[in-house]
Amino acid sequence: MITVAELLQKLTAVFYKSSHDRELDEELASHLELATDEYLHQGLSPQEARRKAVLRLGGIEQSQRGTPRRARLAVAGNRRPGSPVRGPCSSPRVRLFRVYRSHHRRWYHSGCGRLQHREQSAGSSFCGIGDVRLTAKGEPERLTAAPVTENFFRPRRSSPIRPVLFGR
Amino acid sequence: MREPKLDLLQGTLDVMVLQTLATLGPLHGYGIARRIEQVSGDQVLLNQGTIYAALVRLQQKSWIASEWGTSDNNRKAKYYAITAKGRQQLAADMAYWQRLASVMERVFAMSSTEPAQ
Repeated sequence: MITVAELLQKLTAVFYKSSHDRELDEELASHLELATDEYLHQGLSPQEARRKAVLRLGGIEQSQRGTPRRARLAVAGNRRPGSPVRGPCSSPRVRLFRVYRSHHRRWYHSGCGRLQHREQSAGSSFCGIGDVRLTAKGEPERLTAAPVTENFFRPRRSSPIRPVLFGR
Repeated sequence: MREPKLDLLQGTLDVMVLQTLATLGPLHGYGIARRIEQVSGDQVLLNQGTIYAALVRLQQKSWIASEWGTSDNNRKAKYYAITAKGRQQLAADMAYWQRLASVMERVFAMSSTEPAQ
């Protein structure tokens, strides 16, 4: 049962969302600094220490209250997990989707505009929103992705969606 | 071959956080995460970011309180402490988990030769 205090806190969270989010951001930044310090203390280079700290933190999106309503992923090109990440590489027209199959998952990306159309016309195949991380050499990159069932990419005669597979 | 790490069962992380704070006193999120990893002997697959979801949840229930402070290495950090209400909850949770563990132990100890009653 929800108590009055909990209800008040939830209401406060609604009205002061941005300040809470800012505070959480500060806290996560502080977490990264502390973790980086520990790795530096173990003798890692500053770059590697930072990278490891980010990897260990993981799931930042999940730790923030609420999940983004729309997948706002930005990943460009035919990069595959495991290939070097070369700095900021984002495009508002590209999204990453996780596609569920019977026994394994596959990763696809496709043009943003068309997928938005598809989301509206076939909502049942849209499963939700999740996070992925592309990691390799350099700074790991955190991406927001949408897990979908395989029929999400069923070709349409008028505007076929041609996902690009990268990874297993 | 190394055994895969254990996924935390739902509800266990909150108890772990409460117990860590009850034992060690006020700690920042990173300290809590590291402590849980150390105590589990690196057996638990802990995404450190999920600690913050648990901390928000526990704070909303008034089981923990927080305030900003400075860490040993002079970093600004938010410190969490268990409240009286949190201690009560921890006692209840511990009793629940101990009961559950004892039931599971009995279930796993069942022998196939035992007669059905």
